[in-house]
Amino acid sequence: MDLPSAARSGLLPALVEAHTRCGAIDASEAGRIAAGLRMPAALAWEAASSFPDFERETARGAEPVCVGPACLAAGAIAGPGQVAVECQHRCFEAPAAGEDAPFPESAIRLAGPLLAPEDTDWRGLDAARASGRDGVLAGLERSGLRGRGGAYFPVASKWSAALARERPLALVVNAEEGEPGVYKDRALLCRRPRRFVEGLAIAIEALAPAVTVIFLNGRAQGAMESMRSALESHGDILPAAPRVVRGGGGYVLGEETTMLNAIEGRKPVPRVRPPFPVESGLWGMPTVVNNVETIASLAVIFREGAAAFRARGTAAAPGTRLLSVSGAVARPGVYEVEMGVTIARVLEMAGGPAARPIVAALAGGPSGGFLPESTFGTPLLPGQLHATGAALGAGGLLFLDSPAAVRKTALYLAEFNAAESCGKCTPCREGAPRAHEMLASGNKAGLEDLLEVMAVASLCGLGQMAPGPIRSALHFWPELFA
Amino acid sequence: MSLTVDGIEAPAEGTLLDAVLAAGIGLPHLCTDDNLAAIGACRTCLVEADGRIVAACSAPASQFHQVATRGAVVERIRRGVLELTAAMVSPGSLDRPGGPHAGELAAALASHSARLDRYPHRTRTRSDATNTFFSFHEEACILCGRCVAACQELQHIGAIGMAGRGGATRVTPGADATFADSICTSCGSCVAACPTPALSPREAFAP
Amino acid sequence: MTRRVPTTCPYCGVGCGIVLNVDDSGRIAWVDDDPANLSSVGMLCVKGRFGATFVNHPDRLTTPLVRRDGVLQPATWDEALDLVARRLPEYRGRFGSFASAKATNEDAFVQQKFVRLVMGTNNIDHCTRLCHSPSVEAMLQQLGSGATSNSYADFEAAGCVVVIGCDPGSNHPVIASRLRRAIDDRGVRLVVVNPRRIDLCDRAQVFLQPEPGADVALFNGMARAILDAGVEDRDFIASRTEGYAAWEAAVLELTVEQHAALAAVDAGLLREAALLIARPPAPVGHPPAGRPGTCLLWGMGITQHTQGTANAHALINLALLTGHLGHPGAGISPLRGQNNVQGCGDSGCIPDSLPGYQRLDEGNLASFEGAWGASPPAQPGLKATDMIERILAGDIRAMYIVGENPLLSEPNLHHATMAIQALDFLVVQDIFLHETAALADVVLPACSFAEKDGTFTNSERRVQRVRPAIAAVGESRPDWEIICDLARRMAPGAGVARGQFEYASAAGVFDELARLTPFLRGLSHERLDREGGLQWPCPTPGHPGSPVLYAESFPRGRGLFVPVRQGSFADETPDADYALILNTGRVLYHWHGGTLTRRVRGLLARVDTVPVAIHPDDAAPAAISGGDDVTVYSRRGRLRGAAVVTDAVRPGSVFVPFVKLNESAANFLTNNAYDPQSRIPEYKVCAVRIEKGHAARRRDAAATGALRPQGEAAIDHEPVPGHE
Repeated sequence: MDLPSAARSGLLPALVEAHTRCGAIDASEAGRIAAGLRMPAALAWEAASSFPDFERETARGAEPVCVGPACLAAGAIAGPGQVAVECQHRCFEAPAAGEDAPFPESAIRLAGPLLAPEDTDWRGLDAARASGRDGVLAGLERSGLRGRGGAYFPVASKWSAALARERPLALVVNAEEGEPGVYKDRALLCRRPRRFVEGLAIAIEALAPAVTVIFLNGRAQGAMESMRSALESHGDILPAAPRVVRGGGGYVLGEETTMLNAIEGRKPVPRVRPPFPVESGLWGMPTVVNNVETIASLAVIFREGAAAFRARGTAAAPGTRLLSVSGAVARPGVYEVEMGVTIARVLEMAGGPAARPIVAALAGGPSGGFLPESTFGTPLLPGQLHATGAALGAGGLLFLDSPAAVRKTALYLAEFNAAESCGKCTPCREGAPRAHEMLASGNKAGLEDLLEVMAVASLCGLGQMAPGPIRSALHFWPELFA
Repeated sequence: MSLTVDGIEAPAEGTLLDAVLAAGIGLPHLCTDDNLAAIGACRTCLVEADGRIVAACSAPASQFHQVATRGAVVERIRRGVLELTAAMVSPGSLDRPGGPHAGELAAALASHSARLDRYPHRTRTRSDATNTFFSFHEEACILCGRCVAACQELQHIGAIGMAGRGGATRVTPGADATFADSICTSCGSCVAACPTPALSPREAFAP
Repeated sequence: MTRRVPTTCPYCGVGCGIVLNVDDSGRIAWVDDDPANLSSVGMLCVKGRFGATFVNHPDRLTTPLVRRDGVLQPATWDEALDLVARRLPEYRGRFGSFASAKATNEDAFVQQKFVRLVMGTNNIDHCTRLCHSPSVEAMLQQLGSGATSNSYADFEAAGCVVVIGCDPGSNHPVIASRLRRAIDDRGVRLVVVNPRRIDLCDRAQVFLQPEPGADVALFNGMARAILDAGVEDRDFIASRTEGYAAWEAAVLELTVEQHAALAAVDAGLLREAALLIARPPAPVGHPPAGRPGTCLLWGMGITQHTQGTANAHALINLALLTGHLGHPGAGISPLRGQNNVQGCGDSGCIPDSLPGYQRLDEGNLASFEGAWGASPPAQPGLKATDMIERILAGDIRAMYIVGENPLLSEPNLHHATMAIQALDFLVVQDIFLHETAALADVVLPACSFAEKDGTFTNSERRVQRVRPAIAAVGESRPDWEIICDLARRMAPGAGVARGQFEYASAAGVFDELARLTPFLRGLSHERLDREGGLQWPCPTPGHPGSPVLYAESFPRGRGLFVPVRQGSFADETPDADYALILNTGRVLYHWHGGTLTRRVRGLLARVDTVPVAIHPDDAAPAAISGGDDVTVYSRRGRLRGAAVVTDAVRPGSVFVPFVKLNESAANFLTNNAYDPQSRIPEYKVCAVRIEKGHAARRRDAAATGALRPQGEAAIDHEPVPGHE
């Protein structure tokens, strides 16, 4: 299909290419890229200067050290001749090196149907094809599958809403996975790419999208290579090769409208909603955005049947989901668990504490919150796990074994959210840095008011949920921030 | 279905902001004007709609019944946003003359009795006087995005953008250029849109 | 307290809504856009936004001026009008008048009524002669109506838009914005045809850069490519057109490659453009059932040639061939240059028809006689360019020129100046004492757009209100009032009832125009105030107006294919002495000759020297670099400007906007050669040479003795010796 703004949609690939070739993209390089694409320089520059990766030199002399939350908790620090880099999504081996590497099979700690060894046939796809679009939608409905990106929106409803527009639609696979502490999509793409491709074929079969885009984290080189190779080997089951677009970093890219803007070559900031993507998303088309895990789950559902899928998890939240477990446990890694399992059970599966007793868990990363050990009986279900912020989210669980680690992680997350604010809306852009300053300085007068403003008034989830780690830490460990 | 705003019947067409303004009720809307689609950046048009606090500029009026612009919570949060906004501009910079909407921020701050010193100020200080018809003073800029929307979405010129991210975001002509070195055609739609004196006409209209 | 007065922009033909913000001192303090205006939908350009201050410029004429002892001196209205009323009758039969495409419909209507009834001649014309007369001629012949067929909104509903021989970014900036929106947001495809690379080319799928004057070959080549591919609209051709066979034979005489070679464009690109035009892809949001259309937009690059009418025919043939007429998202749109050039013609300021393009036939003359108590003359009048030529032949001895400055807008200005100087009696009515006014015997001060009531009609046939925002400057009066006052003084002598020129208001004038013009009959000031601008035809008060014409049929019945073949490219082509082709046009920051925009400080500051664009290949041998002072010579004159070295122009050509800056203007160079049918001058092509440096200026010894307008010296450009 011909796409509008062809020049503009070439921007992000051109930026990625330029960054790979010659490192940090400055204004003059952005201007050159704009001229090559015959687009206004301001448009190229506002996009280029919004992706954190493009500020970074690729050819670096210094050795990168990951200082994501799990590595930080494990004592990571950038020494002389080293440079600190944000989470590399290798938290299962914290403190990790600061570079991407293919996800190791050994870090798959507990496999269910989704992480089971790959199949050699396409039974899921065959079943979906046999039942047709309506059959697939009915099967999805019966399965009760909810999106695994963190919002847990019923997938059948999302698809039906997009199809109801009766216009050419877009399917976008969110493979950005930019949340520190989460690496389960990388696990799927690196270790079970065939299952992902089968799920993708089922989605394409049912949705018949005019365009399919996979938006992949720019730094996930291992996942990229594995997925590319799977798409090539099994391309015969896909009607057309999906466009693979790589990002340039930025936690806010996980927000779906931000990702759509990035794909279109626009500045990666959230759009107002409504219209929702299912109404008007990529290039104005009704757009279905699903996460890698959601897509891969389709293969499971249509292979095993909706009933078998429903047999796991709870009635409201059926099935299994992947947890990225890290921190002070004996066996960090990816765990495929049934929805509704308690945190305590996860801790147990992960072999319990690595050394010292566990004090707290961070659930939901920078958009979640801390829970003390006393609440570990909480079942992991969609929505908030505690009113102060903890949430299942994308399934990241970081176990911490000291109050000092809670303080360090809370400050890290407050700073992270301030740094990752895209800058579009006032409460988040202006509020997050000030909240971090207040928390760090201990001068907390007015902090709760500020957090309320951020939570209620921010445009997107990043700002709305940024108060979570701060609020929860202050709630359970007020003494740490005096 | 009927829609009331602060108890006043209002047309349930367009956005809640349209309905609020049609009911003759004042509400700040620093990133929206009648010429631009909703941007959603300033977060100052918050109202309480059927028990939820929403930005009126992007909420469809047809989906709500009872809207309140007044109320302790919603007013506190609006004031909070306005106080964060006030911390972006340098003291006194709002007193300068500007375009037709230049007084909007000052009026919103006054109507909400917002404290201008609630938060430490973090102002930007660049100025650009290279255009013949208008000048740009960042110290009064609140990054509402109206000017950029006017340039990119209304006029489809793309002379200016919102370069950088987070706290480093700034309205920027070209790729870190000046207005004079950009593809700006001096249509003035940015000046017409600006809710502060950041973008202000020069002597163009002087006798 | 600021007053906000919604009105219509006085510059180009787009017809943007503006809101004049007037401060307590009665001056314009700001110009706002008007999101409610359907033509501009909240957009404006630099001239609309910042260009209105000319209305308060100190150069404004504030009193009538009468030439005494060879010098223009202030006079009272009675003095001036009595003098005109006494002198003009002497010139019945030797009189002509130019109306103003910048004034209102009401002004134009009253002026043509005065010329026809009181002066007894159809010698009335306006600047359409210099811009779109070939388009109008061709459209009238082929379709039966001489206006744009569709609306600006159709650019956004089209599959493809073709921008031919115009630079909307400079001349119709809001059209350019609407095009960019269509392209960026809806994926509408753009084809640009222009000898110069314009800004919009950045968004073009195909850019064709033909040899100037080769348009017939180019469009016939496209037609051939469409026929070769079999993608013409056979149903449309069969059911809606005639003359196809003869036209097809003419097109088939050459192959696509041969046509392309004549036009000096790549045959592959020509084919790509042709197929895109014939069968454009659907834009975003296009209804699945409908067939995407193509909009053809064009400007002076088509018309200002000695082959202008043939060019327009070739283009309209293409629209008929592809069936892109009569439905939304398609159509033909000549972009009009002046705010009311459409309305000036609609209101009757053309020599061969009455208001509403009603022919000078018995029935029409009788119905006008019924309304006016006297008949307009039956004999068609002279066209504007012919009037100038006939002055020198002695056939025209007096002129009444309203809101026009031919000594900036005519080609070959030395020649035009000689003609104007040769008049026995010249009345000029305007807001500034421009070059032409400086030669007048009587100068009458008119109100600007900001001081008067009326209507303008824009390029999409939308009739829009003009409203007074500030008090009349000095003793200036609205044009229609001045002409009525004069007419009342002269009416008895002409056997016309005085009451024919007594109107209570501009609304009253409009009512008479609407009564006499079937396609405006449903409109009135009151209705326009209530509903906003409406597009004609609007025959009844309940009619909603007409965004799209020709859905069922053409005014002449079937659309007529007119065979045209590529003739010689131009009247004057390059040779050893004058080796370069001069192409003229405009710049964003000035409007036309600059009479208004030179009086806006900010606009003049942006461009204060005539830019001369030249290709690097031509600049290098003459050792010319960007910014250098250069002098451009033609056989008729010279101009001084500043070089802009750019590969946007074709090698072998020079582009100069026709604004007059520092006493230099392109029309001192241009050629007074005319298209035989429409009598448009060939502004777009003449032969020139260029030299580095500024030739020394010489004072014109034969100064006119006129009051010298400030900042606008009398003519000091002499012909180059030996070439006149």
